[in-house]
Amino acid sequence: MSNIIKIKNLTKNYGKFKALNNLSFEVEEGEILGLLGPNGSGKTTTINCILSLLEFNSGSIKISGKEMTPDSYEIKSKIGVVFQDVAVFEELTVIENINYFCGLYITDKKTRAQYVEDAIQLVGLNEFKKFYPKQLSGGLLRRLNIACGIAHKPSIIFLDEPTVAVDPQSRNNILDGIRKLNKEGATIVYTTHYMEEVELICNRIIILDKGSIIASGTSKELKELINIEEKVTVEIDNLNEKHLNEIKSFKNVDEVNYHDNILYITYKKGKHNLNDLIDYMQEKKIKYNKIFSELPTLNDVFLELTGKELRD
Amino acid sequence: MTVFKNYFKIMKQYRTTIIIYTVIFVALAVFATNTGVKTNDFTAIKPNVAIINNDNETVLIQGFNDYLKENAKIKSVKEDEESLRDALFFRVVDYILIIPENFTEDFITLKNPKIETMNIPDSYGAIYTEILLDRFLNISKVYAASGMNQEEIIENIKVDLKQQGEVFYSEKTSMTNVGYINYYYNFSNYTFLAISVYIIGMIMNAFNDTKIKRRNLVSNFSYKKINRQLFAGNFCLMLLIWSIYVGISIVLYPKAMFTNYGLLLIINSLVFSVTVLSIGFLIGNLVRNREATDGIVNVIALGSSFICGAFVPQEFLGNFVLSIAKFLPSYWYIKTNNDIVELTNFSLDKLRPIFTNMIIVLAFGVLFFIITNMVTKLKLKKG
Repeated sequence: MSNIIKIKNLTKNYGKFKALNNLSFEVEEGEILGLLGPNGSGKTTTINCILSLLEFNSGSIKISGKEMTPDSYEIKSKIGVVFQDVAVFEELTVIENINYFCGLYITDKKTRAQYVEDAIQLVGLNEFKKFYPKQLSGGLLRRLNIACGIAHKPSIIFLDEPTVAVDPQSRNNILDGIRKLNKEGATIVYTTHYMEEVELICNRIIILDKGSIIASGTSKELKELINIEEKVTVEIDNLNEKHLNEIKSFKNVDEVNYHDNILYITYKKGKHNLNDLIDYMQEKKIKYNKIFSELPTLNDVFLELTGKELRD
Repeated sequence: MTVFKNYFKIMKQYRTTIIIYTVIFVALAVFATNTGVKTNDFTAIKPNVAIINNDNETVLIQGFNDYLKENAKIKSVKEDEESLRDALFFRVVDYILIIPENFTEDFITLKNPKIETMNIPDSYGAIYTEILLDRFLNISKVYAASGMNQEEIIENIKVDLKQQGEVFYSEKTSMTNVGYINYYYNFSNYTFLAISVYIIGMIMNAFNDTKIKRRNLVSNFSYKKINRQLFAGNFCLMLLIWSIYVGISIVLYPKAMFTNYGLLLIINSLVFSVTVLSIGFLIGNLVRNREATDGIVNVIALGSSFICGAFVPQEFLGNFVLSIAKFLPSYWYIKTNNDIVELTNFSLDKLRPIFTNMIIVLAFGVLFFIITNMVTKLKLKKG
């Protein structure tokens, strides 16, 4: 697979504030790359710089081997963008909106009609073709926003937080649509602060914070960066200080907390952690109601790397 | 032509507002024209005159009084100097005649006596009275020189001065109502500017939404191409409004419109509507909200109409105001309208300044279009 997008030493300053700090990464053709980071980490700024919507201070952006500039219309014809904010004409119906934005790229009327129909099918707006945007719910509006951005069947698609404030049904529809577009051959750059989404759909993830890349790789690779094996939660009515100290002394235990009758244990890499805990509670005749074991999430990765949560 | 076609889809959504606006402003223009122009009424004014006679009530003086009574309103005022000055200051009278002692005798014997006068400087009444006085005295002097006595002079003068000048309107203004169409087309400065800035602003608001603009910018359409197609859409809309305006003038004043004057006024208004379109396009690109557009409509349409002579004829405007107005296309448009109706023949020499003015108006339009493109580019750079 070749690199379809190459970003090298991208820096964008707003006065003294560094929005992007020497950012370098590549996007492989056919992959779904997730840009993950909290609000203000530089995800949207990165996209805007790539699309030449923002001037940047230094660095270079190449798409399909060519330098991207505001006048790179040939490159632009291959790109589809779904912005964070819904960008549609209030005065046009669903089908008219999609037809307009598709028409900016596709001049042949017959082909365009087919593309518009495909986009409507993809986002599931078939029953709402004649509706005006103000008649649509938030989730349906987001779907329309996506349809407007991808109707011309681009080979590179940028999706900037397309699922913000969307109902679960619309979210699933949107994520299914993205997977389908990728299967059809589109390279996708997907920004979000929802870690579950990147884990679900992205082949590769770049974690951003304060305009810098703090980690990148597949979900598995990122989780291996940190020293957590699993997190165990146990509902216990009575646990005294002695028990807590004994649990803390188990092998692989990293951290132990107990409050509101819930015991939280974080384990470092290692095996048989849960077995040892259950054996101890049976031996000490400690009664427990429920027990859960969770694998570490990308939030844990972010927490360990930056000392703060993704949604801070 | 995606952007161009989309322009009309959006315009369709605002059709009710567009129709209401157009009807209101065109109706206003028709109403203003019909109430603002009075070309067929002529009434000779009668100035207010006071006569202080220090001579005797001679036949000549009596005859002079009778003549003045026919052409002026004779007012009685106190004869001291302060009262006379007050009468002039408070506009009780326009003109005061002070006939000296022995005036009749000196006049008959050709001693050339002087009548002392006081008047309101530069008032129409004073100038008119001066003419009346000159006419009477000049003719009387001729008869006196021929040796006639007072009775004979008065008798002859009565016959001579009975001849009243009749006022005729030139063919141009009376038969064809050119005065009306001149006013109607001058008023179009307000109508065109108000309609175009408001309606174009309203439609352009949809395209200038930052989110839509960003989506257009990431497409393979250049901002220049988008601007060109939007301008073409606005041009069609302006052409429609212009056609309605011209159509109504043809229906209301057919005699005047089917003349060379009418044709030139139509051409001039078409040129002006292109410039107006550029102004509307620029404002539509600069202003993002409806309320601000309303305010700008008032400032631009009303302001330019007042200072450029759409409401008040240019000849009544001060030199300072006109010097400022020259920097606006409205001034040149209205000047051209006025020059057109003043034409007595349509030779190339006479038409050349008319077409030069039209080119000036068009140059303003080109300038505004260039500024619009520069503003768009600047905004793009700012992100």
